[in-house]
Amino acid sequence: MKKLIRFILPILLMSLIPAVLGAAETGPEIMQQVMDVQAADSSAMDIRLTLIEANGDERERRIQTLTMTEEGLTNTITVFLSPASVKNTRFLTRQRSDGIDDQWIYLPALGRIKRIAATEGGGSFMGSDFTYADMASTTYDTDEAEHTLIGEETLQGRAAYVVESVPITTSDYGKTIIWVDQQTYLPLKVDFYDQSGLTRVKQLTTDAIDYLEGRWITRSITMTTLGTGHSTRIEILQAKYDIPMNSGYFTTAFLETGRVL
Amino acid sequence: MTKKIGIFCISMMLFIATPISAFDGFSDIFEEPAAPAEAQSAITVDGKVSFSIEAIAGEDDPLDGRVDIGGGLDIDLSWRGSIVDARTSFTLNPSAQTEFAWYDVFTGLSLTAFYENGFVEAGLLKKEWGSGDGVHVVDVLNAPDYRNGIVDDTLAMKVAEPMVTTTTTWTNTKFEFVYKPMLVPMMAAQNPTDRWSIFPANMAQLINADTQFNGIAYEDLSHLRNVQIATRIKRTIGPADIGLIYFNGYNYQPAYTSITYDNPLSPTPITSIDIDFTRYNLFGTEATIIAGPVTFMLEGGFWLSEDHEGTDLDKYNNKVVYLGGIGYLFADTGIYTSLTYNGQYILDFPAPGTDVDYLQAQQSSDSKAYMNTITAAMEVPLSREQVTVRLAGTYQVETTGFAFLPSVTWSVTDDFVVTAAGRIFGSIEDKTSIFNTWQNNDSLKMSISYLF
Repeated sequence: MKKLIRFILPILLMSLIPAVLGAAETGPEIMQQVMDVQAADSSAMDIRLTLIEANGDERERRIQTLTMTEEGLTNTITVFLSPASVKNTRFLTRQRSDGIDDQWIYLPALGRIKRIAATEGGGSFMGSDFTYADMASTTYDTDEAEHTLIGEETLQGRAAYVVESVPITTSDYGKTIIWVDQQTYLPLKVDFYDQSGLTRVKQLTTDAIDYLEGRWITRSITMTTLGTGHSTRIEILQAKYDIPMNSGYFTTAFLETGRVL
Repeated sequence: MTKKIGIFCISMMLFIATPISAFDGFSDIFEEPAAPAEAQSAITVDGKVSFSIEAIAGEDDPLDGRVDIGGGLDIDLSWRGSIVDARTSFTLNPSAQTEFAWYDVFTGLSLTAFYENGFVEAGLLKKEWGSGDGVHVVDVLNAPDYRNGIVDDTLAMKVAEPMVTTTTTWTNTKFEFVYKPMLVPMMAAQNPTDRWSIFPANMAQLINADTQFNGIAYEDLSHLRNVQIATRIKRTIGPADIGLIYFNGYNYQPAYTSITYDNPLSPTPITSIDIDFTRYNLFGTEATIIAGPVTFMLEGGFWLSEDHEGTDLDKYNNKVVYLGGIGYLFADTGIYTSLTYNGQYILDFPAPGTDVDYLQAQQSSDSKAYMNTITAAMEVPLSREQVTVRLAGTYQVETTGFAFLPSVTWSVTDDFVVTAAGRIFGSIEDKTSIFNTWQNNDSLKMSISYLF
């Protein structure tokens, strides 16, 4: 629970990017386009996360998350709505001017706020197939990975760039290959490889996309761990961007009370 | 009791008259509520139904042990109004081993009114102050409950106390003021034959059914002179959350006075024990400091006793308390581990005799002025967090007493949980301590719970 949700916003932002006019020709340019169109001053998402066993058994988690960027610093508040064991757990991340995140968690069972260490790495998020390291290895920052356009393919009936990304910084993966929709710049599929770069270990697929309020968004994505057959589906039930948002949400007072004071 | 029923009735009347709706996420932002319309209600009901069997090993032959049946129903009812929240907690856990008391059924009440930049909360509350991982030396707002030994659950070991708190927040700063109208002492089994009696063997043998405990009548605890107050100001400064605490109130631990104890010349049963409480001022501090994946936890304080000169045999002396802890989260595996060292040093420690400080030290710190404890915990999530293994242990340095509390929790489904939890007590050397007293209480408890 303490390794909560820092990962999920970037990956959702990655999926919810709007369409971009004009074509990019090289890997770095494509990924830079993706970076450039991610920016939003604020966002709100209502998310259903479904853990799917290899035998088809499913477990659902429901979360809502708000993100707001002010003066270049991003704050995030996440509320867990179900299941009962984590209901009303709230998690706050505030970015400091030195770039480091401050994190607090409110555990309703204890009725108190706890300051916790920021985490990076390959641990599972809420028992899902998504990890923090997934984000590290699929970063679009050209300073952190080498991106190479290795081809163009038609996937799910859509023309896509195929970009290979080899992380420069330490990562749990040797490389990732991403299929980027040429029209919307939504990722249609991402393959994750082990450290050797030879064996594919996980796969992210886009299940549904939508056009909402002038943006193309991904409605549903699924991450599958190929070795076990376990998968996790993330569905965006509601999403809003660049909306007015009360900064009082991003305080420890809201974390403790569930109210903007 | 009457006062608490009154508070409850007032809260009910308030919420009958207030527009209310259950919390369903950021409803002011999303058009569609998180919960389906048919599931929304003015009252939110959460809780669990559980059943448990605890096997306690026999002293000589394991099969001489006995079995305790536990479990029951825990319910939290909460209301959410426009400017007020309310919550009540009930527990119906019938047990053949313990007396059924009102305070075990009505385990919490909270009525919270919000105003700009703050809120007032009143009721029967449990609060945890301090930065430590379940271990504290400045957690002064609730008395502990040792009637069922110790368990790996901080709040479960607290007595809900009547109190009113006000909290005001500014940017990165929070100020709290707490008013406690009465003295609530710690709870412990007073029958020396009880499984969880805290009396050491040499004292327990001098206590019988005729022994009178004087000075703990309810009306004595609710005198105006027993009012207690506490304040805390807490501020986030860079990677640290730092708090300053002031408390004017009582040491929840009673001082047993006017007794004959451990005197080989007169090993006669005790006919009466007077119980007294010591008023203190606590000047304390707490800090949580984050450095990468490492969490540093610090607490410290000076308890200024009403017997600040250390001359009153019936009152506890001044003391210094301290705590240092470190927590580490292994990001790849989700394993969290922590190690805490805490202790106290009694000033003007008396010579052997009948001073309560000495008597207390005799029972808990090998007759020394200082007492130090090491506590370690590790939580290991497995199988995509469906299984959690938790290991917690504590070791009291001076008495060499220890407790080990391992548990395994298996979430068969999100709402159905199976738990196996053990409790092991003992002492490396044969010195008097609460863990030595409980050394025959080793047990294994299996429980199933349905969460709703």
